Amino acid sequence: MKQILLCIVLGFVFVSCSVIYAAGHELTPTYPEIKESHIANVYVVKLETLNRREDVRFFEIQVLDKDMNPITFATTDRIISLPHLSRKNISVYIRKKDVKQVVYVCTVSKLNRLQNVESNANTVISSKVCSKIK
Amino acid sequence: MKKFLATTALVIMGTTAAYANNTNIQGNVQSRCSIVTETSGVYGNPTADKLTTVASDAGVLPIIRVDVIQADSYKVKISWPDSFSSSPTLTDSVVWTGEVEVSAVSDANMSSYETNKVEYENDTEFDLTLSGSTWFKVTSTALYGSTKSFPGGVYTAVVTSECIPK
Repeated sequence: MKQILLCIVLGFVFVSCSVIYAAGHELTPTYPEIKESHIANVYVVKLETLNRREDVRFFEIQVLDKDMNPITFATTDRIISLPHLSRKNISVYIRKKDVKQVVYVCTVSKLNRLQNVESNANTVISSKVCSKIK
Repeated sequence: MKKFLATTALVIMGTTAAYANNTNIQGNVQSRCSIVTETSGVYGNPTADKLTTVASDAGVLPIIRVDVIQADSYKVKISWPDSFSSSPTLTDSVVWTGEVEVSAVSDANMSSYETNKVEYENDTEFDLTLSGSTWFKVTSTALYGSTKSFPGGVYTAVVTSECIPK
């Protein structure tokens, strides 16, 4: 009696993990909505920021009108600490009287002058990413 | 024999249960713009009164990559420096010049970005009408007043890049 041998074929999946040097900064969503907050006459915009820049740890939040002029707002931290490859949800609170003027909410990288001098980087790149209110 | 069958059944059930334990990976692709620092530039010092990022003068051009997921949603504004963010004490004026150019694109149709760019003061705006990646190179030159020599030390200037939804 013949024995039937079952052959099990093992599939080897080669996952090529390409290491890409990326040093970016993002802000999503692109077109957020302003919604009423839990406080009367105060509205809120919710965003998420991601830091892929190794050379930057702090970002400043800005709320701007159509001409890029600053508008008064409140948030837990105006300058947020965001370690490399981490994300953070941001809630930006705006007064009812300012809501119609708000067009952009931006995050701007804060550069470390001492670090750049030590690394002898003669030009450094500041990044600013904005979201536009719907 | 009964013990053997019971053990076998338990092993099979255990294996089945292990297979049923699926783990989902979810992702969300949404419109966004990402500014990526590919290369921080370096000023070359070809003459005593000149600092420049031009490669032929021993400089290194800063390279910025901008990734856009959704077409025609963003414009990018890149500004070459018009002052030093840190330098030794300077007693004379510095004349700044610069240029921002598209150096590479991920889609051949993006070649129009360079011809359609808008320049004013030290700013250059590009309308990102297509999704994908665009690389920008920034030329920056600083000339010290009256052909004086720049004092010795480390000089740092900031290139700003902004991604603004349309």
